[in-house]
Amino acid sequence: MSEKLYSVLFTFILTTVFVLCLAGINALASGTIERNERLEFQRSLIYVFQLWEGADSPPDEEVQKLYSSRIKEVEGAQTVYVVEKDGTREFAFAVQSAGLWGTITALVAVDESGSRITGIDFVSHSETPGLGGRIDEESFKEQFRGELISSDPSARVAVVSGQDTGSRDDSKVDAITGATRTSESIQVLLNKAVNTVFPVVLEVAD
Amino acid sequence: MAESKKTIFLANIWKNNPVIVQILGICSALAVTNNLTNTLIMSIGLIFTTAFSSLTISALRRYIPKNVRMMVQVLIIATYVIILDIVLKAYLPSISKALGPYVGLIITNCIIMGRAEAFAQSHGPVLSFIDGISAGIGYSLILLAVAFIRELLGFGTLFGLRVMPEGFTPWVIMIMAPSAFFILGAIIWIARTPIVKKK
Repeated sequence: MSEKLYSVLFTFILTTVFVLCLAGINALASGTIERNERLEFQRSLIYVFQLWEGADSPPDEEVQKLYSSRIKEVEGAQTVYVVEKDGTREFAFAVQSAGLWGTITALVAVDESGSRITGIDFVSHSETPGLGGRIDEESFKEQFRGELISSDPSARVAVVSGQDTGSRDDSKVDAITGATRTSESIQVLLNKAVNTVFPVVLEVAD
Repeated sequence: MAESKKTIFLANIWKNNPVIVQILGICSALAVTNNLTNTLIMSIGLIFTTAFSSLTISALRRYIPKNVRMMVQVLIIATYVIILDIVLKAYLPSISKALGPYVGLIITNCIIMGRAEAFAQSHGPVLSFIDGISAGIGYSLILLAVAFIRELLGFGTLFGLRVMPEGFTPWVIMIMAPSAFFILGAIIWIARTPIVKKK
C-alpha cells in the first residue's frame, strides 16, 4: 500500500473511532448537563422572584417544587415567566446586552405596572473576575430590589458611583468600584429591558 | 532502558519543569490562576489530558504515519479535552462555568504537545504515561504557587475561605492577568538560580 493512502486511511479510521467515542460519552452525559442547566436557570428565576426565604440557595428538590408550583411560563416573541403575589403579577424575562468582554445575559423581574424592578440575576457573563465579575455578588444584585424605574429612557436605573442615597425611589444604585465599564453595561442592559423588551413582555403576558 | 521511572518523574517536576525551565503553558498560567479552586481543577484536567494523550500516542506510535503525526496528536489530545469538558459540565457545573473557555484551550497547551513530541513518540506506553502525569504535576505545582499568592493578596482568601484580617485591602492588580507575569517571573528567577549555578 502506498504511504499516502495509508496516511489517509489511518487518519480517517482514527478520527471515526474517536468521534464515535465522543458521541457516546456525549449521549450519556447530555441528560445530566441539560438537567443542570435547567436547574440553574430555575434557581435564578426563584432568586429574582424572591420565592425562597432561606439564607442559602435552595436545594435542588425545592427549586423544582417552587418552579412548578409558583412560576408560570408563557411562550411568545419573548418567553415570559409570571408569578402572582398578593393579587398582582410580576414578570421576569431574559435580556442580553454587551458587557466589557462578552455578552451579559440577565434575568430581570419587573412588576405588572412596569414601575419598579423587583429583582435581577446574571445568568451568564464574562466580566473580569473580582472586578466586573462582582455583579454576581448579592450586595450588588440586592440593590435593585424594588428600585423605582425613572422616566428617563437613557437611565431607567442609573448605575453610578457615590450618588445612591440607599432610597428605593431615587432610581440609582451604587456602581462597582474599579469596574466602570461593566457598571455602564448594566445600566444599558436595564434600559434595553425597560424600553424594548418590557412592551413585548406585556403583549405576550396578556 | 537508561531512564528509570523515578528519574523521569522527578526530572519533570523539578530539573526539567515544563513551566519554569521549558517556559511552556504560560497562557493558561496567566489566565486561570486568580483563585485556587479553579487552578486546582484546571491542573487536574491538564494532568489527566497529558497522561492519557501521552499513553495513547505512545501506544499508537508504531502505526502513526510520519507525515500526519502532528495532526493525529492534536486529534488525540482534543478527544481527551472534550471528554474532560463534558464531564465537568455534567458533574461540576459551577466550576465548568467559572473556567469557561479555558477548558477547551487545554488543547493548545504546549506542554501536552511537547511531551507527545519529545517523549511519547519514542518511548513505551507506561513510561509515557508516567512522563505525562509528572509533566502535568510539574505544571500544577507552579500554577498553584502563583494562584496561592494571587488569591491571597487579590481577594484575601484561600480556596474561597477568608484568611486575611477584616481590614485588609485587596490588591486589584493581583486579580488581573498582568500580576501573573510578575509572580511567574519571580518564581522562575528564584527557582532557576540554583539550577543555573550548578551548571
